[in-house]
Amino acid sequence: MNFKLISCEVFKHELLHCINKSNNNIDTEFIAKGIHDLNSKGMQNRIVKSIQKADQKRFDAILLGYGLCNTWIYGLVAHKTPLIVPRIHDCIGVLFGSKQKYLDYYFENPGTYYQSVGWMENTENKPIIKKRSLQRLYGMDMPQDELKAQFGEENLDYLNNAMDQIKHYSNMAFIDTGLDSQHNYQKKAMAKAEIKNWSFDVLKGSKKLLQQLINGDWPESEFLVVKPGSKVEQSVGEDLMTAVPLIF
Amino acid sequence: MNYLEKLHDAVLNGNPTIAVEITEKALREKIDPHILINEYMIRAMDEVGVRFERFEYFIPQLLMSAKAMKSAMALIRPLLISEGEEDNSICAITGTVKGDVHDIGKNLLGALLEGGGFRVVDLGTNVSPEQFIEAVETHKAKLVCMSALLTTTMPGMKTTIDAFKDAGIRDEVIMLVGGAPVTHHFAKDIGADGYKDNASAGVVLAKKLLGVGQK
Repeated sequence: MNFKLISCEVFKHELLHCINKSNNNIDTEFIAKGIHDLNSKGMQNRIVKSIQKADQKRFDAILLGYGLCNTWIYGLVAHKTPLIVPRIHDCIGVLFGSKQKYLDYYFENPGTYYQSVGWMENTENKPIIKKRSLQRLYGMDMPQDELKAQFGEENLDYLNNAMDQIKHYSNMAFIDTGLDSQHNYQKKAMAKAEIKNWSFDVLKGSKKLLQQLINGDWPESEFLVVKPGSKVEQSVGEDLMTAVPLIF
Repeated sequence: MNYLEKLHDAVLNGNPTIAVEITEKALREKIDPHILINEYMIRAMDEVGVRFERFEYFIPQLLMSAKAMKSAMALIRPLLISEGEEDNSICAITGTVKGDVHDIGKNLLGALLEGGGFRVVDLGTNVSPEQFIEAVETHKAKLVCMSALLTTTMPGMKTTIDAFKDAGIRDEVIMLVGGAPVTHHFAKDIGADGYKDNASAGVVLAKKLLGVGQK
């Protein structure tokens, strides 16, 4: 089979490994992880650009290396080529290899900061993304000296604390997906956890879902197949998303 | 009482020091605290909300205005309590749902609700349906505002609304939902009374649904 893969760069190493093990012909395109910092529409627009280009060629399917990732996926339309997307919340779930395993760990450990090789390789956003990010839109990435100049030193702690999204975090979990390069990253993650005085976990991840995506093994319970002429809609149930025919 | 306009300006411009100075002076001069709240501070916070929605104000400005209002309210509130009037304001319960510890949006909403004249009881983060129910009963709240940042925790909003139905008190409260992944579609599907994509619009919606400040 001849597939186009459009994926977040966070899975790059795992996906290249899966592609090597597959008989399918995969044309890859990796997109910056930082587009998650745009609003859902901005993220969708960026991915749709790549989908539209791929749609002009003759691929059997376009594979999306994304989950719900906030809600970017809702409203996505398949025109000429079927779109395949894992039914999962986000990249962390993909790296767990199972939605349920992710949720089980998640709810047992609220306030966990997840790390993986791909996450740690791609920490800094490009200036063009920073400029359009939600953080910039709402003034949450204002440099310390500007905050100080505008609101006074006496209010710095208050503002920093109020705008700290991870102030209630207490745990870091590194997801081990069996990559050769991960040892160094794992050590770095542990050091970051120590600095923050958080507990640290190494979790057994899996390439299972990514391998299935590449192999064309898409059971309905784990993947949504969006046929041409359909669009993705939100589902409140455990299936997370559904495909409905476009009405003209 | 011309100097009271400075209280409005201090809240609007996010200056807690001046807000406290003017409030102290006004209270020394026996000015009715309700006038300070209703005619100056709430008016200022309404304007803050409008500016935020127009992207003229950003989160730091909003936080500073909230701090100014809160600092002034800290002086006023004990007087209201001693007059036994505290219960006249509508109580709102805020919290992030079970499993979710991201509270920036929820705290902004809380600050703006207080700025809008509500009495806010904040349950913090990772709040179970049982805790929401208990708080509503204890504080005789009329409004419940739930927040979630992630799609993983968002179903907790439905679980909470269902728990209110099971407890037979769903119709006694307005239940609003918010947070980055929440949509109108989702809010409707889970049986919430409303959703807005920002804290300022959330306060306007809450007031509308509760019939507060209708002109």
